[in-house]
Amino acid sequence: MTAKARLITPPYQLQQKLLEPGGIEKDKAVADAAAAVENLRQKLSIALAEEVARLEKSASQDGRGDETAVGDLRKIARVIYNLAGTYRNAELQFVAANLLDSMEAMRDRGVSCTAPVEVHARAARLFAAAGDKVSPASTDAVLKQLKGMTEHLQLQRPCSPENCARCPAAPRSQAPG
Amino acid sequence: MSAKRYNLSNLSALIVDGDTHAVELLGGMLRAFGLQRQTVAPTGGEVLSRLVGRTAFDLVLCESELSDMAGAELVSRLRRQADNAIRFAPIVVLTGHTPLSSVGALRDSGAHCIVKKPISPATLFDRIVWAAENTRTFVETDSYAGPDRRFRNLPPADGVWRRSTDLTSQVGEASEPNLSQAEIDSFMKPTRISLE
Repeated sequence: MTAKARLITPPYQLQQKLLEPGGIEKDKAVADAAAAVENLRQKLSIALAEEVARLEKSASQDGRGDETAVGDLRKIARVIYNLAGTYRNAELQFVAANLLDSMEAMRDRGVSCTAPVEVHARAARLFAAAGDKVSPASTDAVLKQLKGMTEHLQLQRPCSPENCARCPAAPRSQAPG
Repeated sequence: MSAKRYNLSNLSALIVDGDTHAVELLGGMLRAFGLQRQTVAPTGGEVLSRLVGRTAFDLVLCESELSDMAGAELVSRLRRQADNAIRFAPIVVLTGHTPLSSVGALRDSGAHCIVKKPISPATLFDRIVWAAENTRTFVETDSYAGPDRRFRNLPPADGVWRRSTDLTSQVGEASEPNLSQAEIDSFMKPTRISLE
């Protein structure tokens, strides 16, 4: 038995229109677009700070485990990742990406601990508000800790009292000793 | 010799993204390229209910994670629109999170190419031009509708070549799929084509 496949050669309007007389050279187009992005820097820097504040607020609210709240957090993290990356705040971009990875790991493993989100939210505030004042050594240390936490979550078994006690993401009050 | 020019002023683009900041950035870049006719839809549902069949688009730029459906689902549904030109429109999917499974799902939904966020102007321009210049046969089967996906340097599973467009000796070295933009491209594009 063979599967039926239909092959179609569609009309390619995009190609025809792109090659019409006039237009713009790539270098000029890219330079103009970079200038347009730069013109939005101030406005979007304010938006970025607002998104970081929203992340902190959402991370600290009750009902964080429900699907809507998790969806909101993921959405905020993606916005921060995009804006921080656009304006070359590499540390903040890393925090947002790592948060998305952590949340994915928590979802896949059924981990419901909320401390990792709170820690990422605090790190995001640090790098959004005072990233240039943090020493390279401290920056490295913070980012390494976050990365280590995500790696731990990726290996983590579902939350239970005994797992929680060994979890580096657990709040101090829940950790033994 | 002067550099090649591209006229985007007569294009009509559909931007599907619920993130207003991303839309602002993307719209600004497209306007700088000369592409002024932009329609924005925040959700996949709005595209399917309000826009499909009523407006013609030369290009679709779609976020991979929409609030009401996955980008892959929207692309797949657009590719199944009977008697509607949008099913053949080049679709560029924008994504900030690129695990291999997502890239594979987007490719298998019928997307032309995937661009990793944050988007740089040069990358966006290159992908639009690439989508325009590299015309691809469309394939419709029970399980897939979209541009021919057979880009990788692999022979058919049973070793029997069937299409005149099958890539053989013209294909370069295969590379392992990965998460960077270059590696996404190698996953999505014919290896014989260079953007530069």
